[in-house]
Amino acid sequence: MIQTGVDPMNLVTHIGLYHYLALAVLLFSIGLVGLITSRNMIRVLMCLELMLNAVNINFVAFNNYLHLDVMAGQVFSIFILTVSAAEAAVGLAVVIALYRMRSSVDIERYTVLKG
Amino acid sequence: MQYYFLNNIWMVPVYPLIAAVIILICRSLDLYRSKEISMGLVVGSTFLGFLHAVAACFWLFAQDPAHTVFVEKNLEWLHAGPFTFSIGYLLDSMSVMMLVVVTFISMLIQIYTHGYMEKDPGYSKFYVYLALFNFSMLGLVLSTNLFQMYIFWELVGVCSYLLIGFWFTRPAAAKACVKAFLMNRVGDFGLLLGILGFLYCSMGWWQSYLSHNPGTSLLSFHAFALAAPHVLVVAGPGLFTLIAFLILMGPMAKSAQVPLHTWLPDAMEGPTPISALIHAATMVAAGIYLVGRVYPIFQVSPSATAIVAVVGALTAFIGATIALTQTDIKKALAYSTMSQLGFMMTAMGVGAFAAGLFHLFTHAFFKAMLFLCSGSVIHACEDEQDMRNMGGLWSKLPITAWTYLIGTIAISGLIWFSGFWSKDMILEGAKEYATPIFALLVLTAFMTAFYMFRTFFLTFTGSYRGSAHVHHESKVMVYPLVVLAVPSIVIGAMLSGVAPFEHWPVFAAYIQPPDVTPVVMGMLHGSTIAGHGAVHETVHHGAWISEIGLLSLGIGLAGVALAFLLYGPKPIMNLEQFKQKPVIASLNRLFSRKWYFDELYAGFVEKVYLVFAKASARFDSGSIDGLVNWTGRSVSSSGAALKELQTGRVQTYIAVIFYAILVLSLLFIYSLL
Amino acid sequence: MTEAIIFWAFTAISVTAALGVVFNRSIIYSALLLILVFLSIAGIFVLNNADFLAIAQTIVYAVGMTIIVLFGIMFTGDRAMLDEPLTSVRKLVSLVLATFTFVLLIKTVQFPFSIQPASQSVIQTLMQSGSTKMLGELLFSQFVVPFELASVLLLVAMVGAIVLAKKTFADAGEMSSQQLSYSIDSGEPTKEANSALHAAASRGEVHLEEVTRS
Repeated sequence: MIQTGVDPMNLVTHIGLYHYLALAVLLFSIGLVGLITSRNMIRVLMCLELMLNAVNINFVAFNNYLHLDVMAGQVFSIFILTVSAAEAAVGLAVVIALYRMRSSVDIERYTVLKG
Repeated sequence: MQYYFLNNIWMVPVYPLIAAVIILICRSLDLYRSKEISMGLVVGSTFLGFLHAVAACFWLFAQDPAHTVFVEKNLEWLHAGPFTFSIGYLLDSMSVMMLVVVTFISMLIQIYTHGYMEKDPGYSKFYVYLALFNFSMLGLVLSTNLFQMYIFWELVGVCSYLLIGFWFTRPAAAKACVKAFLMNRVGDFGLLLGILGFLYCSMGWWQSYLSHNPGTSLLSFHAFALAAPHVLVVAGPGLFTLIAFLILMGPMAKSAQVPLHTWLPDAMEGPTPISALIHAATMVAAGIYLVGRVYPIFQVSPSATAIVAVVGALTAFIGATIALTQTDIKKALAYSTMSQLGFMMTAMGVGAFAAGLFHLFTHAFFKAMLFLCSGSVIHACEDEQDMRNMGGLWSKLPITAWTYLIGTIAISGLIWFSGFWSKDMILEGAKEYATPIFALLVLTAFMTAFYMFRTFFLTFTGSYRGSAHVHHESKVMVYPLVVLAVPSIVIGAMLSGVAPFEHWPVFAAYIQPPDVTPVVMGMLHGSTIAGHGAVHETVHHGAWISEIGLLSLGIGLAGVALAFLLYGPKPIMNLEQFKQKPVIASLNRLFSRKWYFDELYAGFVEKVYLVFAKASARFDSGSIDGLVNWTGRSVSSSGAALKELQTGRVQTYIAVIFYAILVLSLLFIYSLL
Repeated sequence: MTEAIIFWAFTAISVTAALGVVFNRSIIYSALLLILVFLSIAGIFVLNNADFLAIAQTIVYAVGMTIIVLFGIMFTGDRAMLDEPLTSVRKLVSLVLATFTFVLLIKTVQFPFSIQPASQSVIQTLMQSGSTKMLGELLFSQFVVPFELASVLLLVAMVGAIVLAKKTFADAGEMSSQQLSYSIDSGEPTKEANSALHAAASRGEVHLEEVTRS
């Protein structure tokens, strides 16, 4: 724990890699809860974006602390950004198409694969 | 030249097999239509077999009767670990005697069949069955070992089934053939158990025997003289008697001994030629033949021979008592056959080995003739079988009547026709063994004479009581009768070594029970084994006048006289009134109901066997099927339960994926995977 | 010290907003709180020498994504405003799952990474011109292929989204009978489905019956 820069004495005042990673993990978990428990499809997509952003924080923090010379982490982060934006767009298009079918975005109504 | 006949004796069963195959193929391809071709093929094949058998007989008997020569060849067919099954032929005096008898009588009956079955649509099929039966019986006779004999035993049973049920559209015939087969099956089951028990107790001995004597077979008949004492030692007397009894069960069923005898009278539903061939002369004799082949088993155990003797004597007695009351001519002859088979079995039991086989030999001729005569009578009376509707047929069917008379005299042992000699030998043997058995046999001989002449008087004398128009005899059917009459008269005297025939071979000299001293094997020209057995005791020649002879003559005449008085032209008493007397009535009921054996069996099947069978069936469908069904049900119900895992909600699937990732990563981290 | 204050501030805001996104009954409020999350994450990026990425985050997520989401919310009408509660079993299961995930990941990130301080030249560049120059250099030299592919992906996504969301039955006959039956089987048909159905009935393809609902 010492080398990550987490100093048990100064956990609050000295921010290290660990803090950023912990924040990312927390946001990821919150996003996971929302993903699984939401009934509204749009909320599900929003939580998915939340999880992707958490991952982004992870990449950027690693890049900052481990390999600042090579900005590969941030490049990857850009790509994640791009892809998640595209996927969110398509996802919302799907939601709208589904809404046109059943006039509901309640995910409980879409259980055709049941049984 | 002689060696050709000996080494190729295996062809004798094959001739009729080839004939059967040819007929089957040609008839199914419709290559010919004429009936005569079928008959010609089969009769020709049997005739060839007969010539071959006679040639082998002459060559074999040209040897010095002090030695018993035999020719044996075995082919190894199957190997299964220590067990080798061989098939081959064994030609010694016993088998050559049977070969001659079987081929001769088969040939005559096949000629007779032409007259009897001429108008039957299944003519060729009948000949095929006859040829197949011939093949099976001859194969049985030539068997070298007990396994091979068992195979042919079963084959003979199948042929009997096919032939009894030839007119299977009649319900009585259909039931009879199944009854015959099933009852034989029971006997065969016992036989198989006995064989296996015997083998089990002597497996090691057979291994060493086979390694010392290459070219012989497992359970070879020659080695029985040596194997049986060994098994007696290994198994102990009680178990050995059981094994012997189990082996006896086969002949009990096949030769219609009590208690497995009830199929024989029902087998009369078949056409008369096969009643003559199978159920009088040849197949039922197979049981006696088997006993003769495995005789050492009975020789070494007094209790086993006692069982044989008692079974035989009971059969003789019971058969005779039932025959007293029969009104159907074929059934009367069937019970007569059963009684005579009892005589033969008793002979084997009391130690009169040669007597039993001699009686088999002579009985084949005259019983076949008697059946063929009855067939001629039935045919002439337009399928009438009830003797109460016959009478006075002497004038219409003279040759039949004469030959029937000759047969009746032969079977009663009246004059010096062939039955006299063989029956005398049996009675002598029984007297030396045990007086109760002797007394039973004497009483049975009296009854034999009585009921046989009863049938004669009812059928041929008096006035015609029936309603059908009696035809004249058919020429084709008469010739075999005449031919068979000759041996019925003379063959007994010829082979007993009495006055004019001293230089003829004596039957009892050639047919001896096996001896326990080792058999010397050698090679014969053409790579078969020839053996020489040990010298046997001097043979007792028959005499024209002897003590037993006078006794049997006396009782025979007494039986004839009684029959004449009761059934002759002027009956001395009214039989119907006589039958009403109390003791007589109950005896009459017992005998005419066949000692209630059929009712006993039916009751057993219904009350014991079916109950058990139904319980087993319930257990099977409930527990065993239930187990299988439960497996199926549990699979489908578990499937239905697992189906609930598929909720159709994406979020459930995501959760499951995450859980899986979690668990796997935990396992990886803590190095459990 | 300053870093710590800023970090903790942004952390508090993002976590609270994230919780609000998940647990708020109204979806409009969730969307607005999502903007807050994105912006605070942009702040975290700045703390990590990723200034370009922070601005990119703001533009793409906080602005673009939010607009899309809000459009989606507006399209899906009044009934999507309130969220219905779940069964307690599912809530429990998901909380357990999330807790496990959190604990596992926290344990994982406690790994002793070897921190390497950056070289002076890089620090100079970063202090003068920010990370944009360095990112640009990388993107167009080492990562040019993924860059191009990303652009193709965006094009494809755009086309796909248009196709999926296109209103296919402005002209009533275009709704296939399968779509019709599906929408009718599954409950209340939309106004579009209704109009398509009546158009099809007038053309004689479909036979309508009045069914009274009990």
